[in-house]
Amino acid sequence: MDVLLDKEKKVLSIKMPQDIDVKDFKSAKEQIDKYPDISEVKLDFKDVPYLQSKLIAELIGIKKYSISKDIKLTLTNVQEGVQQILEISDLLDHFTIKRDFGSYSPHELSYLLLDPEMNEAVIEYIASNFNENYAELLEQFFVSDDPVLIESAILIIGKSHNYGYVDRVKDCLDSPYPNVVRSAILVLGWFGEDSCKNKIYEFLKDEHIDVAEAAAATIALLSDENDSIAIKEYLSSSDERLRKIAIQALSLINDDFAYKFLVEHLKVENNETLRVQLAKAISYFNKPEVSDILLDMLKEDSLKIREAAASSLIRIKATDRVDQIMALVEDKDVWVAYFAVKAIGALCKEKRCSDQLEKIYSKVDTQVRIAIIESLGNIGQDVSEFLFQLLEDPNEDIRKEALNSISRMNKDLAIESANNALKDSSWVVRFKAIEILEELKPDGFKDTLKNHVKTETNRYVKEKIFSIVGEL
Amino acid sequence: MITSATIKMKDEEFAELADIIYKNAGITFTINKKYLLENRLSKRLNELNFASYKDYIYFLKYDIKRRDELKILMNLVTINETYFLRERAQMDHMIKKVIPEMASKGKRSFKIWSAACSSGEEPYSIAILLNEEGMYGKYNIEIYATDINTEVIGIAERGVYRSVSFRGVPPSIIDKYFTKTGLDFTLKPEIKSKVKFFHANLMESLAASKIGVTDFIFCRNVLIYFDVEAKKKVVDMFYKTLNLGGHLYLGHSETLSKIDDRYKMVNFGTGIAYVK
Repeated sequence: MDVLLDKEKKVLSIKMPQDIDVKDFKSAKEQIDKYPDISEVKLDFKDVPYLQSKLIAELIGIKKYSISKDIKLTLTNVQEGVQQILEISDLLDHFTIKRDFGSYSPHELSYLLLDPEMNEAVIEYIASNFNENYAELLEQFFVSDDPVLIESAILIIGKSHNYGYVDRVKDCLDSPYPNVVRSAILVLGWFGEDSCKNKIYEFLKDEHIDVAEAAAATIALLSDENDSIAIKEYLSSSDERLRKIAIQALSLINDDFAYKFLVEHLKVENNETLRVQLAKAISYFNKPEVSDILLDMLKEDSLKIREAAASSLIRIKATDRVDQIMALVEDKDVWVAYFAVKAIGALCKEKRCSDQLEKIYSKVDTQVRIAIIESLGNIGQDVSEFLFQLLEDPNEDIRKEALNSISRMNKDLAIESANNALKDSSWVVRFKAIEILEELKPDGFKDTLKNHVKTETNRYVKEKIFSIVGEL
Repeated sequence: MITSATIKMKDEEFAELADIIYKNAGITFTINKKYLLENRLSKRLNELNFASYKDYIYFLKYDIKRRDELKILMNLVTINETYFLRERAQMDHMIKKVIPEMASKGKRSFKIWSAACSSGEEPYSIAILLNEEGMYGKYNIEIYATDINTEVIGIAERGVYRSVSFRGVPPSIIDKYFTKTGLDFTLKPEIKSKVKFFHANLMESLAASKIGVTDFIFCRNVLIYFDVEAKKKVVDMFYKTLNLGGHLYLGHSETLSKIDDRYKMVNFGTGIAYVK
C-alpha cells in the first residue's frame, strides 16, 4: 500500500500504511521532493503497529534528508510498539513525536475520549474543528448512557461556543451523574446564561465537592451586585464545607461587598483550614489593608495559617511592608522564612535587601538558602561575587540557583559559568547551564552543545539539547 | 481569585519531577505528558501554598516530612482510571480456554495476579466472570491484586463504585453483583472476599515475593508508562513468578517484542497472551 498525502499550507502530512516497507519511505522522500515550499513533514504512524529493524535505517535516512532540506520532521500518532523500538534503538530523543487527532475519524475520536489521559486533548481538538460530522457525534453521545461521553459533549459545546445547544445543556442539570451536572454548570457560566442562576445556587450545597465548586465559579461568572449579599448567608452556615464554597465564591466574585464579607468573616471563623483559605482569598483583593491583615495572621499559632499568610505576601504588592516582611526571614518555621524571602525578592529592588539576605545566608536552612539565592537574582543588585562562590557548593540546588541568579545580573560571568557547569556532576545543574546558554545565545553555543551531547548521559539533558540543536 | 486553575510547569521543573517519579515508581513521563502532571499536581501545590513546581520540588527534597509527601506524590501520579470488564477478551480466554485446558491435565488450583489493579475493577471483574462460569465450585482459585498506589488500594478494598466504572457492563451483571444505594454501587461480599489486595511497587523485587508462584498475570496498560529498562525488569520478575505454561496478559497496545524473547506469544484472535 502506498503512502497517503495531505498538504496544508507549508505542512505535508504523509500517512504511513499498516504493512509499512522500505518502498514507503522512498515514496515519502519522493513526495517531499515534489513540494519544495514545505517547511514541515508529518509522518503519520497511526496505522503502524510495529517497525522492523531494517526500517529504522530508513527512518533515520528520512530524518537526515529532511534536515538537509531544512524541513522539520514530526512523527505523529506513534503506537507503543513503534515507540518501544525507537527507545531500544536509542532514537527516541532524536525525533519529535506528537499526537495529531486530524488523522482520526469521529468514531475513533469517541473511543479516545474514554481514555482519561486523552479526554481533555480530544475535547479541545473537536471543539476547535467543530463541523457537521462532530455534530452527529454529539447526538450519539447525548443518547448514550455513558456519563463520560455526555460530559465530553457538553464541554465540546462550551469550548466551541455552540450556543444552539444551550437547552440541551440546561437539561443536563437534572442528570443523575455528577460529572455531567458539573460540566453543564460550567458551560452555562461560559455562555452567560443568567436564567439558570437560581437553579445553580442549589448546587452550592451539592454533596459532590466538584459540583459545588463549579456552581461557585459559575455564580461568580454570572454575578451582579446582589450575589455577594446572597452568598454571605452561607458564611454563617454550620456546614464547614458550605462555608468553604462560600469563601471560594466570594473570592471569585471579587467585588467590594465580597471583600467586606470575607474580612468580617475572618474575625469569627475558627476552623484552621478555612482560615488558611481566607488568607489566600483575601490576598486576591487589590486593597491596601490586605498586607496588614496577612501580617496579623502571621502572629497566629497555627503553622498552616502562618504559611498561608506568608505565601500570600508574595502575591500582593506591599512594597511599603518590606521591613515587616524582612523580620520574618529568620522565622522559626522554615516555610514562613522561605515565603518571606521570596516575597522580599518580589517586592524589593534595593541594595539593603540583598545585603540583609546575604548576611543571614549562613544562618538559615537549605531551602531558605535556595530562596535567598533566587531572590538575590530577582532583586537584581550585582552580587555576582557572592553567588560565584556558591557555584562550588556541595548542594546541587544551591549551584543551580546560583548559576541562574548570576545569569540575571552579569551576562559575561553567566556564559563563562554556564560553560563550566556543563562539566558539573549534577544533571540538574547541567540542564540549567544549557537553558542559560540557550537564553543568552553566546557565539558558537550550538556547537558547544553538539559537542557536549556526545558525552552526556542524562536523558533530560540530552532531550533539552536536541530540542535546541534539532539534529540527529 | 482562588481558582482550581492549572499551574503551568517549566521544562526544568518537569524534568526534575519526572526524574523523582521515575526513580520511585519506574514510571516514565515524557514531555508530551507534561499536561498530565500539571493536571494532577496543581491542586496539591495549592494545598501546600506553593506557586511553582520548583517550590514543591524543594519541599520533596528538603522538608522533614518529605517521605510522607513522596507517598502523596506517587498516589497522585499513579492513578489509572479503569472500569469493569475492560478488555474482557483476555479474561474470557483465561477462563474459557486456558483454565479448562490446564484442568484437563489434572490441575485443580489456580493463582491469578492482577499486578496493577488500580481501584479493583480488574480483579473483581475476573472474580465475577469466574463465578459466572461456575469455576469456584470446581477449582481452588486465588486472586491477588496489587498496586503502587495506596489510595486506590483503599478504594478497591471498600468495593464501592460509581456508574462511571460500569461502562458497557450488562445490567444483569450489575444487578447480580452490586447493591445500589443512591449513586453508590457496593460489590457484594461473596465476590469481594475472592480478592486479596496488597500494596506493591513493581520496580521492587519484593512485589513478586508477596504473591509467590502464579499461573496468570494481568498487567494491562501499565508497561506503556515504563521505559525499556524498567519494562525488562518487570517482565523478568513476572517470568520468574509464573509457573511453566503460565500466562501473562498485557494491554492491547503493549508488546514484549525486543523486551523479553523467552515468552511465547499466543494470538487467540481477539487478543494476545505471552506464555512461559
